[in-house]
Amino acid sequence: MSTELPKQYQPSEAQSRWLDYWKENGYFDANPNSEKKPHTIMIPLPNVTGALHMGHALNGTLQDLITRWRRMQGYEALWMPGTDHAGIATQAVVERRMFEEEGLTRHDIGREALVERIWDWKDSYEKRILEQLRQLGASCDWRRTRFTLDETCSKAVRRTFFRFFKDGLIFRGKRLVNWDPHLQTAVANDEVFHEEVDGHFWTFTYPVVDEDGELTGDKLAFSTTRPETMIGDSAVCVHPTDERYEHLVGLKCRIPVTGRDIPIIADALLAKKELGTGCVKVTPAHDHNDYACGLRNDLEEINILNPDATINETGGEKYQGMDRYDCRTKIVEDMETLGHYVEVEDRKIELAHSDRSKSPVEPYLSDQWFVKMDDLAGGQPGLAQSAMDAVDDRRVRFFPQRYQRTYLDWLGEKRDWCISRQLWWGHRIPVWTRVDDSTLDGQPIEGKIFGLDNEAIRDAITAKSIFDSESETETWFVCVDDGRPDVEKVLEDHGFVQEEDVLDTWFSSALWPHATLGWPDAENNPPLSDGDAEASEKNEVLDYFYPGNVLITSRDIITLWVARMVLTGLYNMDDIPFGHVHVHPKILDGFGQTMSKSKGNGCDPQDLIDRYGTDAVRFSIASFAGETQDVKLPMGYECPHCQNVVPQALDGKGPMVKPATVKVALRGSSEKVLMPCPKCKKESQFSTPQYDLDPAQPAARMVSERFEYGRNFCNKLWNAARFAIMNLEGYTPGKIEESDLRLEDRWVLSRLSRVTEDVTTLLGRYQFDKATQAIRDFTWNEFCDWYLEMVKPRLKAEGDEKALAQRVLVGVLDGLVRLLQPFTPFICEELWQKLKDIAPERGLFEPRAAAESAMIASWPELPSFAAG
Amino acid sequence: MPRGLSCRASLQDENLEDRFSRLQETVVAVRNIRAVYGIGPNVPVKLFMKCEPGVAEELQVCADQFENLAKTVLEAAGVEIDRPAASASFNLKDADGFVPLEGLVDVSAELERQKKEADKLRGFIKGHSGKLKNEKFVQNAPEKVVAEVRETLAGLEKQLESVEAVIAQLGDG
Repeated sequence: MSTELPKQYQPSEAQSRWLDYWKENGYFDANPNSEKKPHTIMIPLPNVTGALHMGHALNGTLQDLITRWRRMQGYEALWMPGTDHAGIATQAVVERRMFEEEGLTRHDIGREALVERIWDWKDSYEKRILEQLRQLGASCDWRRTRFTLDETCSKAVRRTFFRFFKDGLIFRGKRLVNWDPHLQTAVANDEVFHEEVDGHFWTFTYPVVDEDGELTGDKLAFSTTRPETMIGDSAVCVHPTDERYEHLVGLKCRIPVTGRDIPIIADALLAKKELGTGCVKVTPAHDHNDYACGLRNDLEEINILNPDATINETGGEKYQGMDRYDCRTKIVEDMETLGHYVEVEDRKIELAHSDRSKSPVEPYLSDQWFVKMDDLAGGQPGLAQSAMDAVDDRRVRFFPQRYQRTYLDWLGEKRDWCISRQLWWGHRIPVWTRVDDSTLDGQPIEGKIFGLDNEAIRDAITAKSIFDSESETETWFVCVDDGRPDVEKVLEDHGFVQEEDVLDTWFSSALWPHATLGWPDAENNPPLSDGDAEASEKNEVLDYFYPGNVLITSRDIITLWVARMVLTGLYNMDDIPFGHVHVHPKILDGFGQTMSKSKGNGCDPQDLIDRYGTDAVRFSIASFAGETQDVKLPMGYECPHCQNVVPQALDGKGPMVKPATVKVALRGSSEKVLMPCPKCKKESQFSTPQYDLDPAQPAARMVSERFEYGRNFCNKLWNAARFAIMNLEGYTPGKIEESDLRLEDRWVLSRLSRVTEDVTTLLGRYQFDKATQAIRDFTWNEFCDWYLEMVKPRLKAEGDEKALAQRVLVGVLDGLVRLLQPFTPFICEELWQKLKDIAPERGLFEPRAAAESAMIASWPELPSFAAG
Repeated sequence: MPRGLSCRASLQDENLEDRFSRLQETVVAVRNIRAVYGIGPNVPVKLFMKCEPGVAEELQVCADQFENLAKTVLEAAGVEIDRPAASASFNLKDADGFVPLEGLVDVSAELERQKKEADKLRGFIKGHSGKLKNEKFVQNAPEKVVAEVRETLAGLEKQLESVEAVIAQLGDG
């Protein structure tokens, strides 16, 4: 048997060799197993909007590390993979691309064709994402890969919606939402960002009128940044203690451009005496603060906009059909003409923009569907409270604990959850509506349509109606349970139409921990991608793997995702979805900015893997994943000609980045800017959002010194193992007696035992950085630098002394490889297989046959001498 | 993990780990002396350790590793050890170590060399501290530059301290 290892560790060879080997042997698969305890991690499902980035690499590394560790500890460890359809994000990307490349909008091609295009997009990106994860060594059970729009997840969505609807937790209401006129959909608060833009601050007056509608001669001056909203004003508001206006409260004033009279009201929450004139106009349908004021004072809500942000019929002949910004100019002119213009000043305005279309959003009153978060009638805890209780009583624990504040504060607001989106890509809301005429009047809809005695149908639908006293019509809303196309057809035959809107993406991802395991199907195990779901009398997979053990995620989605998984888990499963939530740091660029494609400061993990090797990337990532909030990762551009690294610099004030040697501004430059290398003086293209790389030309790709930490470690380990293995010629297995151990053996065993215990404890607390440090120090400082030196003379000796030294050395190396396996699985497998050739039977202190693979070997628990 | 706990009772030995820390520190100190005096790694050196009898005993047990790791012969260890003439020394928490230089190093030439080195360092130190005494420089130079000068000065002072210690050690021979 050769006792030679190649001189250098070749990561790419090891990666492809062992990925295939693990897959062929089904080592990643997890199945219900009564002999073992389950350990479940659900992946924070990446969006199919694009490829994975550094944040995903961090998130994935940590999940895989824990999964591999628990698997070695004897758990049936499931890491559930999958992706998110990411409604608005994906639709926006596909629409934008379609418009740029073909000049088409979604309205040109229609719902079905658009959805088809998005499915194509999804297929290609899902493939890419899953492949990126595989390259990272992710030991997911790939047979169980789910997608939020697949059949299994869709069933869960339908059933949950139906249950909510039946329990009265879903309602329809008019609400002021953030409207994205470009995408024509509501966007969540969290999908909105504020950007300072140049704007104006106009001051105008409204004339006061008396009870008979006659002008009193008084005027009220107020200021606004959006004059067009005058069309929708419902009141002018002053502070109740403002003496200047006390005598006017209760009277009305006139909107000069429309001639409509509106009340003058006093509201201490909206008006501030010391601000401007102390007088504000109130537009409940187009401003969040005014909306609240409108509710307090029972004001009319007048919507002035069409969905595309042109003025609707409320604008009258003068303004109807104008874009809101054109209308703004026109109204300013008209107010001036009418003598009600006072002044204007330039002002920087913090304007809300849609994160998806990057265009300004409008506060907009529209019909939306909501899930009720508040407590139930009679004070019973509602959805939000139930999820708060689970953290308060520590059924769900946050690591680090400080993040539970974010979770509790947000849920504590108990704000109803707006779940409808005006999109085509997503789960269409399973409600059929019909504005009633007399035919349904007075009778339960189930009876009217399906015949009163049909219980099967009655169980499959829930109906509600809203009576509009103005039009004297009743609108029926019928929610149909999952799996009843027959009922849907009957409804449609009776003139019912399904809702156009789809559900908020977070509605389906909220169900991820139980939907992926096949809920609500209690009879069958969920399907596997290879087609052969294990036959069983009940859904054993759900019973066995739910609830999960830990969710490993970033702090951005504690509210939108983590909180909602807890509340739907409690609602559907009557149990929490996971016991632990580990919130890991975020990766920032060297300037402290979050990484993003548009800034050009992100990095494809594959670039790093190609350069440093997967093990090195994983080990480095683990070394900076501690309890801190953020990790700065300075990057540089490697000259493709001479490998000199040029550091990154900000382009102007940022946020875009560029190589420090590029002196011109990238932003706004129409030329393809190249990076000069200060060393070899040659120029090259570099990774940047300014242009797409020409694949035929050499390019300066991003590198980061921080990953040399991992690469150096792997090299050190490799060299040490190579030396050890070279000295194993003639190894024979045999029992090691305590009395035979030399002092250095006892020392290294003591250290190995202690570091094993430390790493075990630290991983249990998700302190990856400290665990990495502990194992690195042991490997580098103690095993490589000291123990190997100490044991050298004995390995050169002959007879029993050599045999014993070899056995102890093999035992220690075996333990070390097992400890490192979750961190650096490829190099460990490479060493394990080599050791298996040379020393198939080994161990401390009784030789045993080594496991087939390092990844299914047991986690080291060093035995006592007495037991050995 | 009950098995893990039982293994700690038998395999983890704090006292042994402490002893090995001392062994490692000693080896590092001897290697350092080799570097300072230009003594090659294969030239055997002798080591005397002044320490309590318990510590001495523990050091004796590791004697073969001194030989193995640092080509060093532990000549003697105990409370009675006196500093040998013209020896380099180092201090550990619970022991003082001495490596006689006679025969390994030309003591007088080395002393000369070290004295010259000390003078050179003093010159540098004077220059740098002069700069820092100059208020104009401190006020007008970029913060980074001033910090660099401070750092260099601190480094030089430390070097001088080491060289002076060497001179003291060689000089008392």
